[in-house]
Amino acid sequence: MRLPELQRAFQARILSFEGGIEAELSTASATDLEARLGAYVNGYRARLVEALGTTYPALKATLGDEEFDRQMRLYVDSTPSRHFSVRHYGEHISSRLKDCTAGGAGTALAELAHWEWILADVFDAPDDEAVGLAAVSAVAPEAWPNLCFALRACVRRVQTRSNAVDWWRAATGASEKPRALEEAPPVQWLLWRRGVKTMFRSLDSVEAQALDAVGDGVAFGAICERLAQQVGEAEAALRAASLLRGWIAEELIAGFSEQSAAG
Amino acid sequence: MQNLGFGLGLRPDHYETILAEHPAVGFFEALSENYLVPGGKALNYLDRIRSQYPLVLHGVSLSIGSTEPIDRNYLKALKSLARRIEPAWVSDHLCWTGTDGINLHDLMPMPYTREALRHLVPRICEVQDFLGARILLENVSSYVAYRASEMTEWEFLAELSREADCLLLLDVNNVYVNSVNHRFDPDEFIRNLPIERVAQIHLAGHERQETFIIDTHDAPIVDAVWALYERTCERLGAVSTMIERDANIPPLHDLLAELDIARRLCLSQATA
Repeated sequence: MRLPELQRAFQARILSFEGGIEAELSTASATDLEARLGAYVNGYRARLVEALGTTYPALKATLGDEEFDRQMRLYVDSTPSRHFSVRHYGEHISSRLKDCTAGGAGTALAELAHWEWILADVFDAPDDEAVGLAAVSAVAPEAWPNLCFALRACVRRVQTRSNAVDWWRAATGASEKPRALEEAPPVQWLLWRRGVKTMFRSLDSVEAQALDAVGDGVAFGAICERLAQQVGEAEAALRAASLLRGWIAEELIAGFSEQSAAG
Repeated sequence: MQNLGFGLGLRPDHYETILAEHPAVGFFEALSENYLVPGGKALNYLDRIRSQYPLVLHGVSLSIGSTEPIDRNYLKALKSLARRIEPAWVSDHLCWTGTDGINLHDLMPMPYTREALRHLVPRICEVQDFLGARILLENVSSYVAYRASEMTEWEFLAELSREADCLLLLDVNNVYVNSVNHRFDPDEFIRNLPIERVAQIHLAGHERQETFIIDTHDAPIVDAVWALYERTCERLGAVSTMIERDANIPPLHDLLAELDIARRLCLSQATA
């Protein structure tokens, strides 16, 4: 075999147990070729399952070692890695769990996996600077309606419809284990990083919509108008200012720019 | 190449101890892929440790032997990381890690053939041109051999490094593992190395199976590997040496004690 065929045949043996490479190989002891190939075949699965355990420690604690291993091996067998870093392997675990597990448990497991994937994403997001209150305070009052704020690259939003975050907290030792994996009223979450520390908290619907509007590039004046529809004209400007002050203090905002009149 | 002395693999378990205690280690070897990320904790620690120690970068995904084109996105990310931390050098493995867009995340062995040499040499040159520096390639452990091989592993390494003008990272444990797995004399391997191209040495532990050895990096270095390392130092002189530990990672002090053994063995050869 030429080199390309040789590599394809070896890889096929590892990924899908296909024969063909054996004729190209030799070992010092003629009887142990299967065992030696097993070092590659089993090592491949063990390595990826171990990597998934690093990315999804709470899912592993929730499912238990045996069930986690079983589910992850099924995933490994159906989904080869296509990234140079094993850190990026396992992106579709959440959707697979949703498809494979019925009812509320499926929703909770899928959301738990999604939660951990987003946490990992926040963990190594770019190190952009947060804007300070002084810089924002210096903006002339007439410019405020057209100001657009940019969220830092580490800011993520998640909505849960299950008690997945309770299971995550239990796995980290922060709370008691819930009695079941089940659906729950929707909760909006904000995840981000301060320095190297990953943070999260829940949002009420008013803040969630306002923050999403910021993320969508909506100008401050338009955000105030939307808030007015939710909390009333009298409170809107005050509420918007209060939210913005909080976001700046929490290091969620990377910067701001003035939207042109045409924009 | 500069002799950085005696080093350790940089592992997250040890970040805090390293910064707090500043152990007497000549250098740390960072796994490139762990730091090919946009930002966050790992890079933060890497920068802080780099401000106190020399660093070298050691990759596992270059896949220099793959028959697919070299992943330029990977190379760009690696070059960017190298600009950031200015490592003493960049290394990877003489292996392939996958084909058809798939990464097996394993160090798959190459056949030692003329065809493989013709394939590898221009690829190594491409990488070295892109990075603007010679790279080190490491000999890997293998559990099977290819019938097509036309030369020994050491002959292949010597010819490859000469033709591509690259350097070698000699993993003494891998020499020992392969000598058992493929029944050759490890001293013949060491004797026939182009010593001027060996810029770094790796030491590690392994796991013995019934009829062969798996390179696991999860245990202390065994006596036979220490003995081979001592004979390697006799032949090569002082070369930057480090211990790799990737699983069952003990406290840093245990690895420092193991590194002292390397220091003692190597220096006893240098003064002999």
